[in-house]
Amino acid sequence: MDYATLKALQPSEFEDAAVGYRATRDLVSGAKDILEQRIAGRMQADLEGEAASAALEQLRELWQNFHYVQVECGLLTTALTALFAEMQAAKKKLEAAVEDARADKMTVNADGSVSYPAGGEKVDGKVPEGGKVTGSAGGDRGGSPLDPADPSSLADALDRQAAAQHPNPYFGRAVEYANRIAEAVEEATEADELWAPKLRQLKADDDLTVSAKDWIDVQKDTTGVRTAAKSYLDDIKPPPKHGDPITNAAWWRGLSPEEQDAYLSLHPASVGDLDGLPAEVRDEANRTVLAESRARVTEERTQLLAHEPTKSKVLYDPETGSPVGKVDTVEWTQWNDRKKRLDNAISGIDIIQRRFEQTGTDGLPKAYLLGFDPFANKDGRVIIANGNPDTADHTAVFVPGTKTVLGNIDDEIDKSDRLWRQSNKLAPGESTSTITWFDYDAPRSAKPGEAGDIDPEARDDSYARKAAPTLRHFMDGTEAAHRSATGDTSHTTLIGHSYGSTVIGDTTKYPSDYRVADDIIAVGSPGMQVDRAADLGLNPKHVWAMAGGGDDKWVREGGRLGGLGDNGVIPTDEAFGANLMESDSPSHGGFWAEENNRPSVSLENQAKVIVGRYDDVKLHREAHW
Amino acid sequence: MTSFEQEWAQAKADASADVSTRLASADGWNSGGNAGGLRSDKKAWSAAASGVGTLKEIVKTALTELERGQKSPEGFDPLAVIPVIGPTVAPGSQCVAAQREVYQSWKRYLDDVTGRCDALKGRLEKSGQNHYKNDKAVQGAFEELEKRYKDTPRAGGQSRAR
Repeated sequence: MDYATLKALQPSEFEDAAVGYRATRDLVSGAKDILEQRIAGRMQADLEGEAASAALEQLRELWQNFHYVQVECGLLTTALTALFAEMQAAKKKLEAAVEDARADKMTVNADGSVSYPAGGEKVDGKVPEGGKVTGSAGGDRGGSPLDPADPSSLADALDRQAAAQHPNPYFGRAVEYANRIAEAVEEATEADELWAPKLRQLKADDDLTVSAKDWIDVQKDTTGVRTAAKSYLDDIKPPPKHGDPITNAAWWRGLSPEEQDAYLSLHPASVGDLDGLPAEVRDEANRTVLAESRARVTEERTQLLAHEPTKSKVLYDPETGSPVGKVDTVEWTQWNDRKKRLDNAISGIDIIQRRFEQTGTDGLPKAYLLGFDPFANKDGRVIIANGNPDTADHTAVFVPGTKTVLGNIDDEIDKSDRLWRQSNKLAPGESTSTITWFDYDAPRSAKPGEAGDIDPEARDDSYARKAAPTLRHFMDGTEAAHRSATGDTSHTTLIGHSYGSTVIGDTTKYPSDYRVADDIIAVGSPGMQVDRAADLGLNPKHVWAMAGGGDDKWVREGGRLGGLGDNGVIPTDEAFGANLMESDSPSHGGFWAEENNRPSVSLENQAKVIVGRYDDVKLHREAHW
Repeated sequence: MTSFEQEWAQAKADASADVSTRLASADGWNSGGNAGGLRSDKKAWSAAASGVGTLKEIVKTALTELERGQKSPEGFDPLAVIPVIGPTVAPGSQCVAAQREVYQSWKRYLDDVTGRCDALKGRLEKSGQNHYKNDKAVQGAFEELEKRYKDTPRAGGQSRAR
């Protein structure tokens, strides 16, 4: 770039373009929502068969197009905004230098050089003549081998020296103006050379199939823009380090819409994971993470399947030399473990995608993906809400128990769906959000023999202890985001199934600026690490427990035996002091049964607590101190 | 020992005796299969068709907004297109040129998406009007679309040389 180019350049061209891309992103994002919530969901509910499946597949392809446009146009918006900021700064610098030169009776020539008039005291009877100088930008001005360490300061010193010796006082100032002009051009040139290839990377794909490779490319684009936008991003206040959710929420509110966009498009994984941010924002970020994860996992799985190592080797008797049996090779076992992990991830991603498409069927509201990482913890992380918790009158957070992994999260999401439907039925005029929270390593066994564990993992509190601060952080985030959105709190219920209730018990041991919940329900609980309901920090009137038939005993009594309850007391005991709810669950897993959309007693009781209809809850025994 | 503790101990003994259960329950999830029933509802097909029609309108609005953001999308800017001469960098702004190329690529992409909406809408409408002979024919009509939008090896923004 040269002086003439920068003079002619209108940085607003980049800003205007950014506005166009932002509008496109928003519109297409809206189209994606309509497709997901009003078209695909309804079609799945109303139509069956091969034809409908084929049509639905095409709708999914279109959905992918929208998502791809949304994410890429988000990146373009940020890239062009950053480029505008840099070009605008350079241009202003140029204009100021030109303005100063003119005010000082000098002429800025078409090539950026500066002509100065004759002036100064007469030398040999003549006023020193005018002349022309061409400036140079800081780094280039050395020209002397003397000081390679700081050529710019050396150049300035040389300039000053030359000016002091020059008989025409205009000369020194002309050099200064010319240098400022050269610096502005240099800055603009640097931005131009940095951004041009980054922009070209953001060109649209040449076909309409959004493949795994395309999503991997999107991720590369994100990294590219992030690197190039470094100086622009440096001006934006970064998220608080190890910030608590209240600080996070305040940080987000303090950003301008452009800055929020920049963070969302350039850091989807961290924005999606940041407790305290609005659910809408986390959802958008995590959906990008979901699409990119699927692409990466799919690609890796394809590679993996192409390179399966030898499965087994024959063992020989060292004495006789005859074969005695076969064992799996170490390579194959490792390969198979990785394959299982990838399968688990793909399965979980499919489940989440299916839930998105179910919006609108059976009245289910929009799903918000508040957390997603297929490889977080041991078995992945999924936090997904039915309905927007930021604006809900009632919020229930459901913590699943033993044996939960990403790949079978559909069972848990299903429970949350049922809780939402029944709560919504009980309080149709009020808004309810039910959240499945799976962000911890759940034990894999509750009973001896399960998963081959002689001593079941669920007898050990360590899993719950580790999970507690994470859940506490999330609960505070939900509260902070709700306050940000409405200025008020939501009636919040924490529900723990099985070992999930142990997690909740440990969570109440982390005090913060907010209460942990208004109500706590322990379903089939093996113990909550306290021996009195009041030790959870709530009035026992707001602590609820229920038991089931059959194998439920294994979990509860096993927990008592293993020490998950304090002093051998578990929540269904009279000594615990919680409300003991009626339950018709025949088993440890049957607390959320529905028949023809009619809830079981155990399900309806939970829903009644969620919407605060306490007097309607069917009780065996009332709470007491 | 209480009776439950006896039961628990027995279960532990059983578990120890049969270590081969170790892998049995490791793969806990199952993939939900579709019943694959046959149902066709005119209204449902038509609703989907008109929904996709709305999507197309939204994409067209997006195209207008995108164009509005371009001062002179088809205009000629001599500074932006001065070619590189010799080893020095072209005096024109590379970003202005790049920005316009990028715009052209997204304009084309969104145009293609509206085309896809049209094609999809047409087939959904016809399905609702019993245009196709049977379920199989409907399926074929949609699968034909799949072939139309085949993936190419190139991803967005990669040079053809790669």
